[in-house]
Amino acid sequence: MIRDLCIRQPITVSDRRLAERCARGRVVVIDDDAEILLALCALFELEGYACETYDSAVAFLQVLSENGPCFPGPCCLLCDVRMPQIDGLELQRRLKELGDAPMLLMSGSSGAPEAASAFRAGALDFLIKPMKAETLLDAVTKALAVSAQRQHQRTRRDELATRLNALTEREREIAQRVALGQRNLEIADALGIALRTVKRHRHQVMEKLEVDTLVDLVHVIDEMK
Amino acid sequence: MIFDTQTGFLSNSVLGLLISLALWTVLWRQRTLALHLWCGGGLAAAGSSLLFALRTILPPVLGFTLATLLAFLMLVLKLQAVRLTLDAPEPASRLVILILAFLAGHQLLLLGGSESLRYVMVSVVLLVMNARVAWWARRLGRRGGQRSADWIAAAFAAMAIMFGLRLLSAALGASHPRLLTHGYDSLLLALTVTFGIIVSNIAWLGLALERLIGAQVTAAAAQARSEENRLLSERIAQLERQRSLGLLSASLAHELNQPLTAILTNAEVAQRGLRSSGYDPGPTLAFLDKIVHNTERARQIVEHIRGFIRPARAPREPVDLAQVILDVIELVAAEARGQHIDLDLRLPQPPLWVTGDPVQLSQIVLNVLRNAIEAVSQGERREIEIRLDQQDGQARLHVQDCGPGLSPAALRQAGQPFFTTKPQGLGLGLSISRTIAEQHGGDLALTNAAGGGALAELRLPLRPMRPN
Repeated sequence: MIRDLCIRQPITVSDRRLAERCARGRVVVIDDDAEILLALCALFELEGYACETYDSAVAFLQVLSENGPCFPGPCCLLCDVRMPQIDGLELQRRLKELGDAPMLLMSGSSGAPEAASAFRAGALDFLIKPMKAETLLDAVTKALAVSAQRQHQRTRRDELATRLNALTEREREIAQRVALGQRNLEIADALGIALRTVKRHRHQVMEKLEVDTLVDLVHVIDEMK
Repeated sequence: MIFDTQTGFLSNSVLGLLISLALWTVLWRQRTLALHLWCGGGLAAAGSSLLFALRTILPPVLGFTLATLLAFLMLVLKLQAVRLTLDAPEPASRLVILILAFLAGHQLLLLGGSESLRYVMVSVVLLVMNARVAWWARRLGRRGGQRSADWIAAAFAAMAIMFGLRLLSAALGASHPRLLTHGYDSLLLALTVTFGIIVSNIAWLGLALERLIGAQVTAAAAQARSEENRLLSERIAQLERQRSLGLLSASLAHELNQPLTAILTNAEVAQRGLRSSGYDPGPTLAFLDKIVHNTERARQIVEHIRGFIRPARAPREPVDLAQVILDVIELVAAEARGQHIDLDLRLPQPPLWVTGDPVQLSQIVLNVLRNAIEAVSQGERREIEIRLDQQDGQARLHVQDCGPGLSPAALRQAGQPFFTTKPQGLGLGLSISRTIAEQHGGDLALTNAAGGGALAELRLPLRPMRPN
């Protein structure tokens, strides 16, 4: 869900403050109880996080579909299970198709089936209301770390994909054969081209993928498989 | 001469008159036909005895015809009194025919027949009539368990036996076949009649007293039973209230957890704020305000629950029906939200006042709403229409769901105790609600709505004046 959001540029002083908070972590809280939203928002802001609150899953999905710009940084969702119209578990199912922000669910009166289905759908934690601030902040810290890791992986994959796209058809073929462990001579024989040409292509590949050694090249090709 | 029959008749006449009048006075408040017949019979006996005593100086019409007729009439009346008490009276026409037949027979024998034949006929008739009274009195004693009736039976049996003995002694020639004699037979006659008058009248008084006590005992037992029933139905209603609240407990726990979560989080934010940045009263005060506010919210929820499970009061206070409905909706709102059910509520602008107990009335509303929630919880459309309005001097609450409605069989049986269509139901909710509605002078009807779904309609009489 973060993937397609455009990056927002800080302009004013308050923008910059928000951007700093976002860089630390952004917590999206969804609960139909306004008092709880206010309290949780105060807690997260006190802890230096950015906090967005929505009083229903519908409102959140609406904002999400508008796809507005936001500041970069890890992000997690904290969502109540029991809500009118779309409940927490349903939102979790819908978001699974949309993105990968880690999800924390909370509930006031949950049975085991609810929690089990939340975990099965990939919830990072299931908090029982009323929860201690420490428990909540621990869960949020963990979720933000997961988010940061996922974002990092994604950035790197995006970068590598761009680099791989810069290769020509022939260069990509040679890079794959190199990664499979074939020597230059074998590649030249297999493709029916001169050894010198193979060497030149190989050099181009190293240059475009920004790798220095054969080991790095193999890593990059493996990562992109 | 052993004993003069005339003296016996005279004294028995006075005794019979006095006792009959005394009995009539004592039991006057009962004023039943049986009492009148019994005492009338007593007076007839007194009259008859007097006439017998004065036979020698009276013309034959009085001394013979009227005296014997009164004696027969006395027995007819007493017999009828006993049979009336047994609820098996003899038809009036038969009594009239009997009296006329006796009169005709007596007159025939008086005019044409011999004196001894007439004596035998009268004695046999009186013997038979006394025996009949004794037999019916015995039946009364046996059927009603009324021991006093046995004494009546004994008194009349003694008289029957006395007539038998007199007949026997006349037949054997030991005495003259006539009424006014001076031997042992006349003593026997006087003593038996005296015994009969005293015992049978006292026994009748005893019967009346037994009946009176019996009626009082029955009334007391009935009152005790109705009191017990009332207490029991109150207890059942209260249990049902607690049970229905128990079924809502999951959503109520969630409801209560919301303010608790806000309280805990606010408290911890204030704590952390104070710890990290020293004392800054501004934001800390704001968090404390929120804690107070949310504590109040939690208190109100608890208050609702408590208000619902407390024992019912006497149903005699003005109640704003709309407020009752709003309170119950507070209780079920969480449950409805959890199941994504839309409660479409429309209440009238001026409050509708009824007379009753708000707790009992809210039990009806809760029961009806819970049924509706259960009916729509499995369906596509999850809407419940709640309307309150005024119609013909009655407040009308109308709860319609868009569930599957009720089958004809369920519709017929719904509201009977222990009938339920739910696997975990007790089948008491609707019957209790209906009882409460009736106790409040209204009714609760369950039908299928024209557009599908079940429709519950509660009608309660409006309170005439709006209270201050």
